[in-house]
Amino acid sequence: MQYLSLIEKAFFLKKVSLFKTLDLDLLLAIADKLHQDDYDLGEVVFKQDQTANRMYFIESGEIELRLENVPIKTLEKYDFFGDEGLFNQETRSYSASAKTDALILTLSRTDLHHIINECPVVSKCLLEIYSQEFPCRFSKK
Amino acid sequence: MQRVLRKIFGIHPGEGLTALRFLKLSVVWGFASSCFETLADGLFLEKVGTSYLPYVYMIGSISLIIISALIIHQLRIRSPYQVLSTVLKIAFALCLSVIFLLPFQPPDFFWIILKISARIFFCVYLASAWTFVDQYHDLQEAKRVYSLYSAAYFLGIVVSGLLINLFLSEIGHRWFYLIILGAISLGLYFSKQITQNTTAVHDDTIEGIFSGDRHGMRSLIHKIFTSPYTISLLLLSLIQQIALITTEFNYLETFEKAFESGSIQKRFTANNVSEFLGSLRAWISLANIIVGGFLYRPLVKKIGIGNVILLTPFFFFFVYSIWIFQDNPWIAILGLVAVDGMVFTVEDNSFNLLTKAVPSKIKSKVRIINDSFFEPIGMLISSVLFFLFASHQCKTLGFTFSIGLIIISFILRKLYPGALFSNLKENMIQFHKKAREWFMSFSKKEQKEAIEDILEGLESEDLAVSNLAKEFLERIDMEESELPEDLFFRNYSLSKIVHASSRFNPKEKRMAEKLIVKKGHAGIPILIKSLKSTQIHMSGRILSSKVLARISPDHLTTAFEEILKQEKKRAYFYFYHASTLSKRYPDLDLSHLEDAFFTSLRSIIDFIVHLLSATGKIEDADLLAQSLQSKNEKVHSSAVETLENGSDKKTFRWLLPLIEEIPDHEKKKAWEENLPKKDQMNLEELIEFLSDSPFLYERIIVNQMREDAIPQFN
Repeated sequence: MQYLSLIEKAFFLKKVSLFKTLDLDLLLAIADKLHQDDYDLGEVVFKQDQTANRMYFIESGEIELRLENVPIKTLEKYDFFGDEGLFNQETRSYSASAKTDALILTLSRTDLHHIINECPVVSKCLLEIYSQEFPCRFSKK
Repeated sequence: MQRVLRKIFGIHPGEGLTALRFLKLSVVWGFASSCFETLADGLFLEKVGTSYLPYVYMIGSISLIIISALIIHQLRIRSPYQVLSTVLKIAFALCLSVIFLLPFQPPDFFWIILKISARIFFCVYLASAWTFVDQYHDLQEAKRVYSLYSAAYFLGIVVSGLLINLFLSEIGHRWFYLIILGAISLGLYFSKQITQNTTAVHDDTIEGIFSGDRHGMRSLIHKIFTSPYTISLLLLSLIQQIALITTEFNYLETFEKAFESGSIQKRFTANNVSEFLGSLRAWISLANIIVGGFLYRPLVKKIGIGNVILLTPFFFFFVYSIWIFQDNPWIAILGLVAVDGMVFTVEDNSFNLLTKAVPSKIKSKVRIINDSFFEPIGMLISSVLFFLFASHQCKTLGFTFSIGLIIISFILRKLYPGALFSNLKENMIQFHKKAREWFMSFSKKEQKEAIEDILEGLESEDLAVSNLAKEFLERIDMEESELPEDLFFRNYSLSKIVHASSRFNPKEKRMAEKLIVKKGHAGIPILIKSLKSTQIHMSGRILSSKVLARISPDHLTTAFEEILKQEKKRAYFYFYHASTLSKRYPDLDLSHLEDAFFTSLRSIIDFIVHLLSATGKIEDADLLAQSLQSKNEKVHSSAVETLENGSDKKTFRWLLPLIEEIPDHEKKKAWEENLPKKDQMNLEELIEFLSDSPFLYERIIVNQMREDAIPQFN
């Protein structure tokens, strides 16, 4: 298993859209809270309807998202997923599994909320992303 | 009647069903492990005899150490439920093999293995069951209900002892092992029920199940040794194990002598040592149920866990103070009470609470280490000591260990509040730390690796990364320099800085604090005025309290009581109205107003925490205030405990209902005690009051309600 150092994690975060505007000190503090997991090809990251406690950042490899067993999206390096359930207190609305061998960095719900409190610009980035994905809040699911 | 029972057992409304599930599990757990061990002991003595006991202890100790290491490893990749169910399934298989082999007169080694397995099962079931239960309770819940679960566990042991006494000779061993099979199956069923119906109190700040840990066991050992609290806790546990076994040896020796002289038979109706011990243990178990079920929780609430942990060491000390001079059955009975009573109720319950202050990442492993490593290690050390010392010297040995227990307990008592706080700190993100501080906190090897990473970053094609690497290199090369604060704030007077502080980000607040401190005593009158004013934003008042604490603590101390009294009244004002509005006006949608009141309440609590910190009672108010608002229940629970340790009893008593989820009748009692009737307003009076609020969001809410044409607001 390849272990990323604190510096490597900070450099990685700089390239993630959510944190690209943050300065060095903030990136290091957030990097310190990232946990690291290896997933083999085909391994499940989480299943639909599981409790949501963490969000995931792809450091390497590809992750496939599925809704009712139907693939909906394939994510790559620097993409993130699993964040929705951390805000709406609901269970996972989709499942995620490794399409290739993948290295994932994870952040807990508590830490994400703490980051947003300290760095409001992160919530602004999230809102921008969500508004691009869902241009109309009132459209059917 | 339900309310009375809930009050006695410390169970909040809505928790009854969950508590019942855990109680059922505790009873079958106590029954199965006790029954298994008692029968195995009996069969061993009957078929093999005591001559093989030393070998049993030795092999058992080593096996337990190996199995415990295996369980610690398994907990890294499997859930506590999976580990517990594996333990139960293995025990199930063992019982089946006993049932099958009993009629065939198995050889001696089978009974030796059975005795060792029963002891291992007892210890491992204890450790894995508590690790499983821990997932579902934060610290405040644990203080209320763990002693109840312990009482249920003792009930299981009492039932096991009773059934064996009454029916073993009637129905034989095979039927009893079938009953144990039933108890183990029930244990599997109840624990499955719990996982399906009860939500675990997720502590998402610790590593997830699949998280890789760079160093594994080395990391675990390093984390234990860098936590003085954990070392003290484990040391206390080890010395207690040794004291326990020494006391066991001493009272067994005394009883044996007393039986030989016939003195026990004259006073008690017992024909042999086993009957005598069995009868005493039954009474002690009954007392354990009463203490665990009814007395322990109120005791912790009254005198605090820091004082409760002193009870058992002082009891041992009291017993041995007499025992070293006078040896008789009555003192030996007190020794038995110390072992089977004090240790198994007071001490075990206290240990469950004390582990909550162990660093979160190693908590479950520390419990396994304690329950499964230290018992065999304690046994080994004790047996070596018994070889070295003559039997009459063992009382002196026990006395020495009781003094050791007292010393370590005092050390633990002192470290407990700090350990809770360190846990909170570790869980928080260290935004205040600068790049150079991160670099300086690395080991020499890590610094070398960091430089290599930075140089690699410099060569990156991505401009953002290479700029970041460049910045890092520059920052670790020189001392940090902040933006000059007077340049940043040059257009602001002190009063304006305090008023505008609600708009500052955390970095700017820290800079503002430094600037105001530089102004010195000249700013004191404005700061005191800001501190007392309820018309300015909490951020300004918090900033004033921090600065005053640094430049003039005496002024702060003088104003402290008056401000605290004022804030208590305000807090209860918001608490009362937020809690009762919907009930008093069920036909109206007052959710926005309630939210506004809860927001105001949280601001006031933040301010109170900062005020307590400014007067030196609490270490890091920002951290504590954030932790009190954390959605992570374990973090919140630890924060409440830290606040209890950092404030006086009177203050904490009125703070607790504001920060902890309590039953409605207790809320009502709290505001009746703390809020004058004249401040309990109706809706019209509230709206009038909020219309003149200094806080914009409260005025916005009122205007919104007027626009929504709610009649009472026009």
